Amino acid sequence: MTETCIDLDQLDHGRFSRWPFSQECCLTCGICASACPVSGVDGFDPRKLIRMAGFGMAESLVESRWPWICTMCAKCEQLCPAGIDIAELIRQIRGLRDRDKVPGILHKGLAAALKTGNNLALPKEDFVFILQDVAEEIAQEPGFTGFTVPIDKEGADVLTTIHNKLVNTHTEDLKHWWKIFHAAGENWTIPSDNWEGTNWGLFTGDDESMKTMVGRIVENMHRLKAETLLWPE
Amino acid sequence: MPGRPRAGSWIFCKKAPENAAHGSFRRTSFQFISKPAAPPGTGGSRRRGIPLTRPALILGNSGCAHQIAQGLADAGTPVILATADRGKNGLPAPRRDSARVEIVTGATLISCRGGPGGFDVTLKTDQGPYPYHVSGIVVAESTRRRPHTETYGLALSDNVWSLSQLTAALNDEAAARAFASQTVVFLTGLFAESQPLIAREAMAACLWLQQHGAGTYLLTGNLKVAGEGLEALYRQARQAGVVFAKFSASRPDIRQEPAVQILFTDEVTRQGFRIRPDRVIIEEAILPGAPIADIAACLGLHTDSQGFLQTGNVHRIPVFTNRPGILAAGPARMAQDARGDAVDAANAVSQLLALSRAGAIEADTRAQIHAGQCIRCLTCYRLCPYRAVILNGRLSVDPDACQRCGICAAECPRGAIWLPDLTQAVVSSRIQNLRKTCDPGPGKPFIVAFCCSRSAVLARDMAADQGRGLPAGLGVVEVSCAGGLSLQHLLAAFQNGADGVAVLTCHPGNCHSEHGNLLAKQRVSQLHEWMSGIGLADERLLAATLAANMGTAFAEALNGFAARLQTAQNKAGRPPREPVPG
Repeated sequence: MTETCIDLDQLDHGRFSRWPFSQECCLTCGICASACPVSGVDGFDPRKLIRMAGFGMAESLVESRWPWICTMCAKCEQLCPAGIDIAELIRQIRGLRDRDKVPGILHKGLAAALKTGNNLALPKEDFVFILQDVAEEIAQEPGFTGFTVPIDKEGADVLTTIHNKLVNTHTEDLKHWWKIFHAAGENWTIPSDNWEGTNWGLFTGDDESMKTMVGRIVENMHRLKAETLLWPE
Repeated sequence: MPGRPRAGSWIFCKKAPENAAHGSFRRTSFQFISKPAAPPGTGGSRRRGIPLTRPALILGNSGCAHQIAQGLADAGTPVILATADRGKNGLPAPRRDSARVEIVTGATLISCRGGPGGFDVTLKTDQGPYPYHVSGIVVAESTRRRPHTETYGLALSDNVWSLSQLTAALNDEAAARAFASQTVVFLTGLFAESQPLIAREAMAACLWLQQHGAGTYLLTGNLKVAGEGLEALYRQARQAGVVFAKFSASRPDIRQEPAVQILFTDEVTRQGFRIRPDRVIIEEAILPGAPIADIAACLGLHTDSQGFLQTGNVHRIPVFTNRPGILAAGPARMAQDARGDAVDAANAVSQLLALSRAGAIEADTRAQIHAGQCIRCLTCYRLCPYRAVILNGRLSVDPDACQRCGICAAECPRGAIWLPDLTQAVVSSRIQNLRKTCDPGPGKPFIVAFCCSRSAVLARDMAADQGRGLPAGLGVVEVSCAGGLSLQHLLAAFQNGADGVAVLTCHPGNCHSEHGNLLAKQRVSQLHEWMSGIGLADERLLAATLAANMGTAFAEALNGFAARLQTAQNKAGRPPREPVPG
């Protein structure tokens, strides 16, 4: 129990009442708290969080780090007998923080992606160069003579995004599935702009940014008239 | 040959006119009247089989009472509705509201004699006592409320109200507007268990206040939502913004001076909170109405611990009391919602209709009091659970009220009362027949089990249906109530060759005759105390309580008893069976 005593009637109990997650149905049964893998860390658990939301204790919720150590496994949500979207509610609490207080590099990467189309702010030429460099290495392997990486190919059946680490620290990992495409004779392509496969708007509770990033991928699909989206993230 | 008791065993037993059931009678110095006098008020015409439609009497002015009146009137039965309330115009005189319903205001019950089908009731009114002759009576007095001020350590004041005070105020739009933007805290179930009627009123009031701009809180122990629509009402209240806090391990600290303040630790967030409300609403206990205590005393009705007119006895469901012909319905029976009241009203109507149309009575097998031997000690009058003993100079038994429990016969110090089916001669001959038909085989015990018809006999049937093995030498003597078993009956069983005697009754609190099972237990205890003094090992007598659905327990009790008797027999090295006196 904390030392300070809060004036309950001074809180805005309706602060979260318009959120569509059914949190007012909570019976405080505690099943969520039993299932949660980080229950008890910092003295928090999903049940306590939902209760605080019901009281309208917005400041405490936004300042706490617990909504950020939530793993988003959603076991709480799956088991909740009242059908409360607990994980989604936690994500929205994340979205209430000032962006400069978002932990780690999550927002920094997102901001870069919104500005440049990818988390690393990697320029287009460099991106294309890296892809072609890896393609050349593949072409030297037996059975892959003539291998090229199709960039911005119109009318491809499969369009794929690229996780930024694959053109940063893990470029070798590109080779495995490119070889499969080649052996299968797949008709595929990579867009040279807005190719980013991660979407940190999801993690930071930033719905607008999340929409923007997704919108760009859809644009790519339309532009290149692709049939199928492959989004390995 | 019927068994003759030995001299020594009669010391503690009562004489009975043992041959009365067979018709012949030993004449002595008293006068024997072959038929009991007809109790007053029943009317000879009914006895000759002419049905009459007599009015039914309703005591109370509740919604349930009015529903019963309506139901009876619709069915063609005249009704008298009596209430202590006074008419709107202040005149307490009885007036006729419709052809069949007579309303008596400013009335209280003074006396009631007679039995089902014919009660003579006297009501006190401002114009003096009024007699009424009714077929049946139903009590349907409204409940009353008592705020839990002491329980919560608060006093009613400008800003501390009872729940009823609030609900009355909310009916007035202007007063209700006064609550807008106020902080209102409701308290329920925190220091004593609450109940669904209170939960409904409190949540409905919270919802209304919240919808009209107040900030409401409900601090509760267990929230009693076991009622129609209450879970939905809870959800609605939550959605409207009512804040609920439930307390299991701790309680809020509620102060009234100098201003109302509530401090508590929320058990889920473990956070300390304080509320300084504009108003606190305390819940209430729902209790039987004020007239009920006197009505119960006057009519000899058993009440529960709160004073409602129905105990937990299963035989009283749905609207019965311990007295045939007298019913308890709606708020007189328990605190329940409108639907419960309506169901009770329907049940009461159907029972009262049957009473008002009662026709000829079948063969009279009820208890009979021998006027010449009766010394008017009034033991039977006081003990009869059905108030079937009528005192009118002489004591007699109302055949319609008598339920043949036999308690009066077993308790009468003069043996002046008998039940035709339960005389010692009849019971002895039944046991002798059982001895012949239930031969257990050499060396195995013959057990006489006196079984109450409403529990043990049904349990025995269940055990048989389930294929549970019962002792081979088991002979069951069915009695309508174990309260009718006297020491004579128990000794007669031993005298007629029983190795073991079992007395199996209903559980405490569930005896149709209220205390028949307790009386039976007392008699068994008495016999246990001194039976070894007359050469009967006390392990040969067993008492147990059962319910009708306890087939397994019945089998276990009797098989265990048989095994113990067998062991005792084996130890003694010879059958301990008393020789059947010739």
